[in-house]
Amino acid sequence: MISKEVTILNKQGLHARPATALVNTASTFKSDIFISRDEKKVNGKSILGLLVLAAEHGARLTIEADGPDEEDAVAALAALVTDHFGMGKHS
Amino acid sequence: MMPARENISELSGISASPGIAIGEAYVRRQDHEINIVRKLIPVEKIENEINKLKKAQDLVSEELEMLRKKVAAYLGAAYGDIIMAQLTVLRDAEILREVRAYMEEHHVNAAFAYRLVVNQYLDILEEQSSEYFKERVADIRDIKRRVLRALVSKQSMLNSLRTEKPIIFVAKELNPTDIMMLVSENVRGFVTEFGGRTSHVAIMARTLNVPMLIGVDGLTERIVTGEELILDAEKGMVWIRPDTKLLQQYRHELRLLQEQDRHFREISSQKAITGDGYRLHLSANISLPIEVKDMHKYGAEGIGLYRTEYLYMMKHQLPEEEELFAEYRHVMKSVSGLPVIMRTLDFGGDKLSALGSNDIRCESNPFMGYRAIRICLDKPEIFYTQLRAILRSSAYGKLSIMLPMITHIEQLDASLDHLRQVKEALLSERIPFDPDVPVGMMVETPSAVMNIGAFAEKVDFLSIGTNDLTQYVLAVDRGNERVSAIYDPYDPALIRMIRMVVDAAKARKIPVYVCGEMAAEQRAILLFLAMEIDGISIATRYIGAVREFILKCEQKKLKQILDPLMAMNTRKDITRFLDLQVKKILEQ
Repeated sequence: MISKEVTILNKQGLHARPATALVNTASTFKSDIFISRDEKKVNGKSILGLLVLAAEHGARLTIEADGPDEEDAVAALAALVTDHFGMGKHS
Repeated sequence: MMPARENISELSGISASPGIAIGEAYVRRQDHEINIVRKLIPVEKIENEINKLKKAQDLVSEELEMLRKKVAAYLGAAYGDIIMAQLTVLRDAEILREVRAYMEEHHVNAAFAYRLVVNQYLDILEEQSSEYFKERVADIRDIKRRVLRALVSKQSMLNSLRTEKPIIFVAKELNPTDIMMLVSENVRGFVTEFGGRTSHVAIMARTLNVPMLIGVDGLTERIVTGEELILDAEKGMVWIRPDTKLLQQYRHELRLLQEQDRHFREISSQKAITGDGYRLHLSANISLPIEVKDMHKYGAEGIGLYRTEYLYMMKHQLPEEEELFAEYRHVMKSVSGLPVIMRTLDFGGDKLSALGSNDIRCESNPFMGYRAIRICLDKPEIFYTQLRAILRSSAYGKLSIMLPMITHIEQLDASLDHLRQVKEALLSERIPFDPDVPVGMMVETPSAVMNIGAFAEKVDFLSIGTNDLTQYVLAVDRGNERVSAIYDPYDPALIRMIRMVVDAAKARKIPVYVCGEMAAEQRAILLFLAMEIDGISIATRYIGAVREFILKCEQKKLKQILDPLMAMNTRKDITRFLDLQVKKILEQ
């Protein structure tokens, strides 16, 4: 299992569109993926779970993956967050 | 068992979209009203129960997929995203896992477990205070309702609506996607308990020309699916189980309306020209691309006001340039060369969830607050994106840009400056656009009127927005019942201000239009003809009647009413005088 800490850069926080992008990317990996914030930990392949985190702009999240492709998964998901979920720097 | 209910009864409400409909009631129950009980399921049947749930999800998935296609056809592909978010919720892997775990532990039926699990998520999400989450919670609740309905009745709502008879849809409340999904089915009208006249749903119903009555107390308890209803959204009434006499009367009225509609379509190719040859350009106000169809149907001569807010309000996030461009280009292509005036973003910051939760602040006075051009100049990145999309679509037809809520010259200068920069950027990127795209402004604030000479120097046309102008000039919120009687566009102050704007436009030889609600009224048309306004822009549904009225007028005669009119000091005198002129014309 490996993990990495990231910060939400989008002004709107982890709302539906970024959360959907995260779920879609997470779902392409075989590994189990968990996202946690403070003591809350949710399934990274669940949109409802991610919304429950209510991660606003600046929130610190931990991405965790456990499985055959865990390294790629964490790298891809961390890149997605750093890239504002592909929504542009102003979003 | 259904109680004996044979007597006619009536309920009253507020008309959110005018019109009349006769049909069978379809009452949508809230999910807690659907009978879901906890049932014990033997272990060996659990897999079977889970398959039922999966089947229900498949039905809902089909329903949503159909809805997504409809939304895309009605509004443009960009709106399909709204449904995509719902599909992600429906297919949530965690929900299914938790439902399965709960069922395996407690040996209960799928409907019970599903509702429990989703409600737990809803409880957590409801605690989040932001506007944005409220919308998401509504989406999730909607999905829950659809799945439970499909589980219990083994069919989706759309399937149960596929009957031969016209239907009037009855619900506690509706969301804009409900309206879109239902209008092209057999649904001829909507009645709800909640909702406001200015809500998205009401605007959507008006836009799609479906009668809608809101604020009907005790509605869903008093109507049962299958009962006959008459919906009269002109009078604000709904009749349950009407008698034969009333039915005949309304069938007759519906026939008359259909004949009138046919007549309006027959005269749709005639220009709106008075008996003595004065031409008043008759354009349509639209909010959604689908309305271009009605614009053609009733023969409007273009779009005098394209409200561009919808895409922003429906999506809960800022649309990208390509999405906007695709929508605007689609409109430009579908108007077949007719002129289109596109108004840049015009809404209050309180409504704009797309700005992000951090930027939504409760304002004590939103009509005087952060809105329209004030947002665009404060957040130039939003303005740039829209201006780029608009300019790019100007390559596909006769497009003009209109700026809303301008109060002082510096705002106009700053806006024109942004426009120039966007043009330069497009030029350097070799992206085609119309370099001479006309730019005009809405005249809807008292300061714009008082300085109209200076503004007219800098723009290519003026368009008077009488709704906002009336409320700002008379300092009255027309949504506030206690003062709404003060709201009257025929107040002498308004009439004089309109005159000032027209004079300034004439002095500069630029066109002047009116695009407020009053422009569809006969007495206002007389006023505008007398003042020699160049055109009006109104909802498509009024185009036919207004054209017919203009054909009966004589402009030269009307010019003579202007002096006595301008000398009047009360709105009562003005209204009475104009009504008398209308009567004379209609009696000819």
